[in-house]
Parts: sequence; C-alpha cells; structure tokens
Amino acid sequence: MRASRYMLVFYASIIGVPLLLYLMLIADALGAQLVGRALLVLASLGLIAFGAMGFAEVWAHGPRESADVAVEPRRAAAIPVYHAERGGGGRRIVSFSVARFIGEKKAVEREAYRVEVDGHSTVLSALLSIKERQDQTLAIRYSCRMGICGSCGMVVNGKPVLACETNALKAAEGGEIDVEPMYGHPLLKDLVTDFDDFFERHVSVEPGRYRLDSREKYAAKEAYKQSREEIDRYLPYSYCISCGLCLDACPVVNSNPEFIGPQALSQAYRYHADSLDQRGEERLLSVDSLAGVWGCEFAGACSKVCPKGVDPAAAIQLLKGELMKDAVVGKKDK
Amino acid sequence: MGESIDTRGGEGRIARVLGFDTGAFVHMLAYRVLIFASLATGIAILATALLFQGSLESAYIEALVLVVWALFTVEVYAVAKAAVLIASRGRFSPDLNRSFVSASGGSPWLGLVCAGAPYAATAAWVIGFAAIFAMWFL
Repeated sequence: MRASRYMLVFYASIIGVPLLLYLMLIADALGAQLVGRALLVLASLGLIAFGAMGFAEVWAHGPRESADVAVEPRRAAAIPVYHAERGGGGRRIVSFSVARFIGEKKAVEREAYRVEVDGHSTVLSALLSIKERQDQTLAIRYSCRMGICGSCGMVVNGKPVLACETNALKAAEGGEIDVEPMYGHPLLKDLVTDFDDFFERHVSVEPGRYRLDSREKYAAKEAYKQSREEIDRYLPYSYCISCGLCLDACPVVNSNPEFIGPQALSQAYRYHADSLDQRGEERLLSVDSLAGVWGCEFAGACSKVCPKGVDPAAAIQLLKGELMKDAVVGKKDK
Repeated sequence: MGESIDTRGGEGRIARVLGFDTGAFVHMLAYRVLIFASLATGIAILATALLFQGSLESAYIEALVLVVWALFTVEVYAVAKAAVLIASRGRFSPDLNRSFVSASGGSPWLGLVCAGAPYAATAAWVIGFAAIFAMWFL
C-alpha cells in the first residue's frame, strides 16, 4: 500500500477528531446529550487511529544508537589573546566561545577567543581572523564569503546561520558570541561537518530536469518555453544553495536521521512543479514514504533558517497535497 | 580529517530547535504528548462505553477530552496553515523569498486572508475549549 493512502487516514483523523469534538460541543450546548455521546465515541475511534498512526510515524524507525560526544568545560585559549592596537571607528573587542569537535577524543571542547571587530565584520571574518592571528588549528569551511556558496553554515548563538551573512557586532549584542558546528550533520573537525550524507539525500530525489525527447535536446528545433505562471510555480524553490541549514534546523532529522529532510524534499517539489520536467509521477512516488515526505511534522524550523527564502516546509506541504490528490484520484501504483 | 561522527538520533535532540524557534519545539512536543493522550483517551472512552457500559459524562472522561482538546490546538493551527499553503500553492507563506513575492505580485487582500486563516481556525478551536470547559466544569 502506498504511504500516501495510509497517511490519508491519518490526516482524515487530524481533521475529523476536532470536527467531531466540536459537533459534540454543539450537541451538548443544544441539550442533545445522546447525540453528543455518540459523537464522542466516534471521536474516540479517530483518536485511537491518530495515536496509533502518529506513533508509527514518529517511532517507525525504532531505537537508534547515536554517537554521544562529551562536552568539555571551557579552557583558556592556548595562544595569547590578540589585542587590537587601533581604536575608534566602531571597533570593539568581542568574545567568542567556539565549540570545537575533536574527532580523536569524540568530544566537543569549548575554546575562548577575543577578536577585534567593527560594524562590517561578519562572524566568518572574525573566525578567519582568529585562524590567521591566534589559532591556525581552527578548522572552518568557507568559500565565497558572500552568501552564495553555502559553505560556512554553523550555529551562532543557537541558530543555524551562514557565518558570512551574520554581523559580528549584532551577534555580540547579547554579550559573548557562541559558535558551534551544525549537529544536524555528522561532525568532522571543529566547525566542519560532513556533507556526504547531505548530498546523498539531495541526489536521491534526482534533482534535475528529466526529458524524454533526447532528439530535441541535441538538435532542438524549438525553444523550451515556459509562461510566467509556470516559472513562478517552482522559482522560489530553485534558490536553494545547498547550505544544509534547513537540515540542521529540522527537529525530525535531528531525532530521526532516516528522514530524508527538507532540502531534498524541497528540490523534489522544485522539479515536480517544473512544467519542463517529464519525470512526472515517478519523482512524486519516490518520496511517498514515512522516511520521505510523510516524515515531516511541519514544525517549520527549516523555513525559519533558510538564508534564501526557499521555504522548504511549504514545498513539503505542497508535495503532501499532490500525493493526497493522487491517492484520492487513485492512479495505479508503480 | 578522519572519520565523521553522527550525533543525531534520539528524541531529546528535538530540543535543539529551542535556540531559535520555540514554536517549532512546542509543536514537536505537543504532537508527541498528543499521540499518547489521544490513545489513552480513545481507549478510555471506548472501554467506558462498550465494556463497562458506564456513563460518558464522568469527570475523568471529560478531563481527558479537555487535555486532548488543548493539545490538538497545535495540530489545528498546523493543518489550517498547510491547507492555506496548498490552496495558495505556497504563494502566501510568510517565509517565502520576499523579492520573489513582491516581483510576482498577487492580491494583498488575499495574502491577508491567507495569513489570518490559520489564526482564525485556532481561535475558533480555543473558543470551543473555553466553552466546553465552562459547560462541564463551571
């Protein structure tokens, strides 16, 4: 049985139970106690269905052993603190507390640094300053420094962000700047996380336009045209820069890594909504599972942290809508 | 750099979201509690009605229904929001790229209705909670 048909019952219970309870309230208010009790018994069936299916959705993956890392107490910076010689111009010295993952020890050690920053400094530029002048062993991944490549994702003051787009002075408003690696990805070294798993998820939805007309592709006689409306259906979801912040923010991925995650699903929708893509239902069915689109609990954290406004949570709900429509209309299983 | 270590897994990890999105944490937590609460309530109602042939107007059944009603508030909001997103093809999501939204146009009134619909549904649900609480316990 397709997961979407199974989940249809689940979503029917989410809508049905509140509806039955509300009808019970109205019946009680009108004095029709017997009808109210009958509706309550009906609601109880919905509650059992909701509870049982919700349990299967959340804990279907079973218990999972996750690697625990010890968090060591903060130690003083091994290298003397860098003191700025220049003053004024909005410059000031801010404190950084950097959580460094040490693979050999399987532990996270916090290191304290003090860096001079000004109004234009970003968290990335401050970390690079630490690397250049205070501690050459600090591992950071970065590339473009302008929010395009999506390499410098990390957790600053508890929120997954691109370090190159985070103003250091603003981040220091609460006192110290707290920097951590993205625990929603496997950890490699210090602030660097392993993106192999992330890109495997991304590739699994076959993120690319699939065309059946190879002759047109190599000897095109006409242009592949799209109307404004057709473009608008997928355009915002094509802004994804694969920075992995959404995956790090997703509470479902953090608790159940088998869930494919918001980035891959948003890209599945991006190509599904593309009128030039000819993969059709096949792509839709590839994410029709509890580890796929139905694993999403719509917490919405992914969309809150996306630096490009891709809104993966909305894309996933749109995929769910498409799959539900498909399940109700009753196209044949593949 | 050596082998990577995966620290993901375990329900406690949902608390990571607390650092930047309290609403998401409440949503996750309420859903997990609701799963057990709805199973307990459903079984209690059925058992009382069928096996013990007891009155469904007993205080413990009413208390359980109220707990489920309160916990369902989060789901009512989420389902209403998802329904609006699906109906509007995601156009009126508050988290969608702002430049895209302003460039693609669209009725501001429709946007306002779409943004308000989940809150209206939740408000109706909360009013229902207050009404049933008053009817049963006051």
